Amino acid sequence: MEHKEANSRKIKLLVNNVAREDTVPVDLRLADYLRDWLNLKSVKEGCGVGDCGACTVLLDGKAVVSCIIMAVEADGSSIVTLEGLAAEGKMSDLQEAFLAKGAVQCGFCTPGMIMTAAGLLAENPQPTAEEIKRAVAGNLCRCTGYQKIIEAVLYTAEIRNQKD
Amino acid sequence: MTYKHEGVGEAPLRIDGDIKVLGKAEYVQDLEYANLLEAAVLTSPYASAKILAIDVSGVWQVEGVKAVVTGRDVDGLYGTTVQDRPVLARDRVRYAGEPVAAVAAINKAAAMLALTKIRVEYEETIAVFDPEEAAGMKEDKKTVPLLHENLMDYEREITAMPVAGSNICSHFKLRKGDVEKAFSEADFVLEEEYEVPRNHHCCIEPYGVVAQMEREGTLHIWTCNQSPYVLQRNLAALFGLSWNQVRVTIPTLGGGFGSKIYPSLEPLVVALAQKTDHRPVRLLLSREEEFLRITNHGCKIKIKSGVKEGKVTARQMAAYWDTGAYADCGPLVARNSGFTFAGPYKIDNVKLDAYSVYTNLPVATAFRGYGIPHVTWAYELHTDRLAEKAGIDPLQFRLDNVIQTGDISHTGEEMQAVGMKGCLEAVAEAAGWQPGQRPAPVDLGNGRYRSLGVACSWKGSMRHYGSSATVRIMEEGSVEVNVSNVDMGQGSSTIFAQMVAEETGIPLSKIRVQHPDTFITPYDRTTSASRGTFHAGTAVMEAAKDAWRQIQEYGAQVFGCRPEEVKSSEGKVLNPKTGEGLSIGKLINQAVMGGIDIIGKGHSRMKGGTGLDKETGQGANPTSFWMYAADIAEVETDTRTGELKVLKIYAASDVGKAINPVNCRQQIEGGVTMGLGIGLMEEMLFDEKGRLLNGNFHDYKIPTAVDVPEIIPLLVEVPHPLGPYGAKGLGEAPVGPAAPAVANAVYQVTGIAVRRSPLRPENLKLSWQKGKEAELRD
Repeated sequence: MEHKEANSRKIKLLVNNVAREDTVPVDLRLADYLRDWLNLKSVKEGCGVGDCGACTVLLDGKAVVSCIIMAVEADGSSIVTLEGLAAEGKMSDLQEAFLAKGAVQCGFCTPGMIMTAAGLLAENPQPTAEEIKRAVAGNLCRCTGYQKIIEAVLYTAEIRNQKD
Repeated sequence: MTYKHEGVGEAPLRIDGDIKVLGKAEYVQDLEYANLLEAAVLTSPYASAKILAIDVSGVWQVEGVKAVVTGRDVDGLYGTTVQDRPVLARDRVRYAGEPVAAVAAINKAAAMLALTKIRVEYEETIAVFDPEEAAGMKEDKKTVPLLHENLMDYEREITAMPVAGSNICSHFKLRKGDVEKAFSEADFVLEEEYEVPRNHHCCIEPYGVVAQMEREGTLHIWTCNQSPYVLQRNLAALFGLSWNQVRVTIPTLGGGFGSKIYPSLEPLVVALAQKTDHRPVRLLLSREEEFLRITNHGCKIKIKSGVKEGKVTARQMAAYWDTGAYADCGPLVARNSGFTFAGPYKIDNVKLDAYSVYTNLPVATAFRGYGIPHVTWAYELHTDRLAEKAGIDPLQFRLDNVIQTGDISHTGEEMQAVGMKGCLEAVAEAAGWQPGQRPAPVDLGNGRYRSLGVACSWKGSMRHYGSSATVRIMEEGSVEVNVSNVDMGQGSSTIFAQMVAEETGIPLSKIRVQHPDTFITPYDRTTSASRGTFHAGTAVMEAAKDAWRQIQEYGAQVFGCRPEEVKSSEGKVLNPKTGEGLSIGKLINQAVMGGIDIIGKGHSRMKGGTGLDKETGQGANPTSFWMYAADIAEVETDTRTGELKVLKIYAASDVGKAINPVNCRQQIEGGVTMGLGIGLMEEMLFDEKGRLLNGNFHDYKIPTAVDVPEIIPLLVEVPHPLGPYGAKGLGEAPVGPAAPAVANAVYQVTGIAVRRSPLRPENLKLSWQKGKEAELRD
């Protein structure tokens, strides 16, 4: 996509394993680039200032809030959104665990919550409940009380470790 | 595919869960439109001011602006109980944050820029923020500015009982027995004051609305609203349309908790849409705007009780509800929390006054519990003080006093299916607290103690308002459930699907529950008051039974048997003669050449509800059902710093019948967490000019994963004779007792009563210091 404006820059990045090259305004937020340019609507806007975590994606494997990162800052990086976790439309084990453990209610925080958990499990495959709580402390949920979310992440780690 | 029974009492996966974990659920912010315009709203910087002039001509300098509206462009008033609210402020503003003008433009940046071109001339006037003062009830401040001088001229519902010449938009009264006599005969009388400040719903999804005046003459609105039919009727009245011209479509909701029950900013977006050439206009709120859109009430409560021989014999209470600049549902909150105000106790002499009072603060509305968390904070902290004075264990004191089946309530209702005692017994057993033998605090050293506290609560739902539903079984065998109850995360669509599975034997995977849409799904009063399972659920259950009866009739025709001999088995219709199963589709096709849809209809239309007498608050059947909840909190208190660590909450709710036990536990865990948030952490802060100071999640903190203790949800089932399968509602009751249970655990350690929530370390420390000073003075 071309966007001809003075304050634009070309960025090259991988989004959900697909190579992209776009010329984007320098004031375009990564969240808007993902939602509006690439139609990745799992990225939710809950606060716009990095407090709620609903827009969390993985940037080079690390969970970040995409509403306070500019698209140009993601140049050269690899981004994964929730859409990228489900290979060929098949749910990942983590998504299945969220579903099976009842960790989903209104679902608005769910994409960001799962991405944070995915980032944590990539870094720390056997987290304790305390470590999970700390990792998702930046993802606000008003429905669940978090218990079932923590259970879902613990369960995923357990299943993965059994497979290893 | 192997058949799995996923009916009532089972815990199948949430039917909307897969789209949610895949990120495919569509909320208002995700919907896409051609020719979309974005709206932005200019709000008042003053809590109280006259508008002398508004000049909007500058907006047209900004490229891409398509429409602008001010209060002078839109006639009419709206409001849930009192029609006191203009779509945009006209001659005066009544709170800082009130919409004054709005712009629609081709993008948000242009709309925001255009707002800076609007000139408004204000003349600031005196504001009032304290509800007791605004009510004219403070001895030293009897003269207060009136927010609505023509209060008595407004159209209003019967439940709003305004006081002429005051800021009181409703005064609810309850009178039972003779409190004065009972006080004079009591062993002791205790009088206290409590306060709960404003807090916020904090749905993670901020409000979003899209409105379009369609070419064919209909108004179509997509919004994250909990009550499509209330909105439809309000918009029709405001904009001169008939009900069948207003189409309200509700996509997936990102939480509600009461903040989305009544119309709030939808009329404003419609006003803008009317000024465009049939283009859709979208308003997506920022988090700060969402904090100002609507809030929970603040409340000051006075409570006085008389106790004789260990029984509460009299209770007198007054509540000043800060409903903000417009009434919204304030009068109903005062009334509905009013008739439950004395708590889940059998008390023969009761006198209550609840005032819903205008103040120059943002509009307050329903909040999960409808005032119950506030009044529970007051009466449950108070109950522990009573037990202490009576020298009785607080758990035993509650067991001795709680209301039971067959008792007469404070409004004169003969109570049925009461699970209050059951909830207390369930938490007591789980926590290892023998009634009468409260465990002493455990000294952990260094001024830290671990202790237990208990609290309980009840909540009425609302009157028997109707709900309709249809269940449409298509020849293919798939099912569509049409019901307008909104699934905002509580899982009602799964509950409805389970009911259909229960009645028809059709597997859950074949059942889809429609998004509410007033052009498609039939009437439902509101998604509020924990009424979804009870009322909309009854309608769905009846519709499913009706559909199944029709299938039985076709079965009788095809199999040559009597209808009642036709049974379902593993999703198929069984031929009683051969024992062979036939798919529903094949059955329909064999019965009716060319096929038809089977459409089952159902309604919840219970009779026998009563109002409440205007002077005495008496009425034999004010609510369709009651909910009961009790919590025991295990808390670690650091007496040196005031720091609290809630270790465990044992939380019981009487659900009547758990249609889906996992959903029930989710409601309890989420409700307890919310209760702990508002009771221990959350408070909206306003400066001396009524301007919000903490309208964001870094200054207004809600519980995160690290703040939540272990919650042990316990389901008590005392079946309700009118509930579907015996079910009651559940959503709201778990919120009330959590924070009071914590406060009571802390009190056992410190002996210092904290009156005002939230119970934050600094507040506790402060109360403690004050208490110590008071002790020294005595």
